[in-house]
Amino acid sequence: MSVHAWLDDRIGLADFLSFLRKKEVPDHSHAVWYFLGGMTLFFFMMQVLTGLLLIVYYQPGSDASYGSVQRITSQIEFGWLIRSVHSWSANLMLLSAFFHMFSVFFMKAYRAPRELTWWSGMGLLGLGMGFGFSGYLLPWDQLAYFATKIGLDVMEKSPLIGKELATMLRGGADVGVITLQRFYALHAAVLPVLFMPLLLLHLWLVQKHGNAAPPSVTEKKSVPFFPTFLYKDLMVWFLCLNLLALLASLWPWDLGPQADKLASAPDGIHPEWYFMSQFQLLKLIPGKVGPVDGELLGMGLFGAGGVLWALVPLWDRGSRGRLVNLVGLGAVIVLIVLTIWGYAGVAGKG
Amino acid sequence: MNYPVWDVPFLGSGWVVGIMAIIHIFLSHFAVGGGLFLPVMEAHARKHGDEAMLRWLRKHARFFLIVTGVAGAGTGVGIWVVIALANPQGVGHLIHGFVLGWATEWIVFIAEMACITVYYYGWDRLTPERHLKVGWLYAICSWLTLAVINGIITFMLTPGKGWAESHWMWDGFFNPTYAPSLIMRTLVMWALAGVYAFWTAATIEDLDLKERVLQVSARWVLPAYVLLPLLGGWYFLNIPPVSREVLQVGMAGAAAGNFSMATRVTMLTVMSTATIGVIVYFGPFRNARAFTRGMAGAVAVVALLATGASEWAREVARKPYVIRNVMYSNGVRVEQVEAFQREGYLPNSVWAREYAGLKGDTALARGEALYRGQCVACHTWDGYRSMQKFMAPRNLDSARNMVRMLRSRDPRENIYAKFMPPLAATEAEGEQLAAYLYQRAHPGPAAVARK
Repeated sequence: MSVHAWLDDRIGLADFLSFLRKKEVPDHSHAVWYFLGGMTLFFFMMQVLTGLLLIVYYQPGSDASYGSVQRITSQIEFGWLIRSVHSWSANLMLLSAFFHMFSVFFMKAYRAPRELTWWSGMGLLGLGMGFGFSGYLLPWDQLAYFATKIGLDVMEKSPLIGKELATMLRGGADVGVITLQRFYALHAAVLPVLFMPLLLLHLWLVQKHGNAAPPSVTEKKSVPFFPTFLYKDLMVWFLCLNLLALLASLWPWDLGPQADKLASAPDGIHPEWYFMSQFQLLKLIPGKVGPVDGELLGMGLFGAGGVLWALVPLWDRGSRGRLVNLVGLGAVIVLIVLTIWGYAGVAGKG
Repeated sequence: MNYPVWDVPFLGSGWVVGIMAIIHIFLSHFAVGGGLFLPVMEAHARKHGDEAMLRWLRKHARFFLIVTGVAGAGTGVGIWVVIALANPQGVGHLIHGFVLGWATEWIVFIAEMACITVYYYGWDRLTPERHLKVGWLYAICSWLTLAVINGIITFMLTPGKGWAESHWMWDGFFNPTYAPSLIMRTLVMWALAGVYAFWTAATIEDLDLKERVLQVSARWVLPAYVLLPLLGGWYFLNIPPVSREVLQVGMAGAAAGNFSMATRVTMLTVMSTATIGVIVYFGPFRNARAFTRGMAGAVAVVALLATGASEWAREVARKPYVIRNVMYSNGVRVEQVEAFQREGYLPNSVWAREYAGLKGDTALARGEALYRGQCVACHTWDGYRSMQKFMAPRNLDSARNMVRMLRSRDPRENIYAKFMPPLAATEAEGEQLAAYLYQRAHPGPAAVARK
């Protein structure tokens, strides 16, 4: 009996393949954006794989954290590679997730019946940023320490539960070993537990409703998911793997000096690129705007923008396509300008 | 030294040459591989009376003419401009040493350009037999351009014992890496001919024709995959032992992460080449009908990465020379080092001396002239191989010790001797260089005085 026949008897392989062949993906001039979801998934899988390997050697603790990351980077065989791939894939995952979100937005793929797909995706992006923020502190070097300190200060200014959330994460008045312990728990246990079911829901919804073609596409053309689209998807994954290897081997992730609370913050300290726009906005707003605290106003504005963005399936009733495009374009421009402005402000300072 | 210094901020002149060269090589390799691809495919199509394929070939020939005749030839001229600015001494040496080689190169290049022009514009004007003959002539001329330039490029890495003794042009031309490099490049060029054909074939509307063309094009990539590992081994055995050692030590230290950049880039070449192989097999070969131009573009980008990485690794293998055992990468000849260390660099260097004079001929001005003359060929101040970054944590004593160490050619005394030219200057000039580097990295009027 062949392997195929053996598997077919037990799990219905032929039915599964037949199902995959029947599944179709729209084929049009914007179809290239469909790869972004798969790319984000690929980078996430790389995160899981390398993360599991890092857990084997990583030890949380004020001295242990730094020492273990140092050991991973310089003594454990290929530890430097695993750590670099983990860090680079984290950034690439968020980058492709942002692109994915904007492509879905502009293709109006959040419209009925895909509202839940959009919201679950937004949730995944939020959790992904949480992974990035919590993971950044774990090496416990100078840069990680001060960047996290700034990040928590920014969070504290957020309206409603900002202060409580920051205090809970910090675990005290200042960033310390308790913070490190909590961030590790968040990064390696809490967030994965929240992320995985949400990811499964998102994938199931994508599977159920299929890929949406943008309203401008009137001609109904499609290609079979198996093997045509799957082959292309795998090719893109393979290219992503090349990109990761290129970045990890030519620009391996650095480890700075160990965190020292008494030292002054490095010049030009700033959060990771995905928080840079918020950081820059807070820098631009004066301390007091009328009776309102400037930072509170800034975070409030950002928060309100985020809520408006997330609720787009509710306020875009089909006739507001032009308004939606303008809002999306405005959001993209604001985020890019603030991020570049933020980096220009810290350039050459560290 | 005897020419002005081309100081390119942040990027460095070496990278300007590198970027120009990688683009040119990617295009010119297509010119040679594609040069054979066209008549072979035309002969095949004519033999089988495949009119559809002939129509596609005609479109492909137009693409070929534009890419190689305009972009390829243009970047070729660009290389001459930038290498003459970046390393005039090295270019001068190669021109004087290979007069016959350059003359031959330019003649076959002009013949190549004439042939491809006649080939393209002769589709309707020439008889099929004559048209095909022009195609074969183009293939021969374009391969000859490779055969000639290959002799000069490989000479720079491995001039060989024969040339060292005779200084005869042909001894240098047919040097130890000539043959493996020529065969390797020929195979890579065939592979690139296939990769470029994917681009024009991906949009063929007739799906049967598309499948035929893509599958044939994919076969052009195959010989490179079968033979390159063997030829790579042959090439590796013929490069200088010091360069081999850099790669071998790098491989051994890969697990610990302390391997050289040359090793990293060599590994990237292997990885990107393997990627192309997998994609070509599952794409144009097995799923030709679904193959799109976007995918063809992705294959081309990875091929560009592989080309760039392998050329970069080859360049690095030549360090610290621009022509091994003849001239260092900063243009100082090997036999000049001793005299410069005894008599001084500035007394023997017209432009450096003038530069220092224009700046008041102070100790710092002489140090700066020395920095420009001997360091700027490979280093920038605040970009690639940043001197600012290197000097920032050092005090003046450390800078002096480093410069003193750089004067030695013995790897036991100078840890950089395998990668960097020795400092060809007197001890006093070395002090001036150290003072300049320290002062510039730690600006402030009292920086030197403080120390």
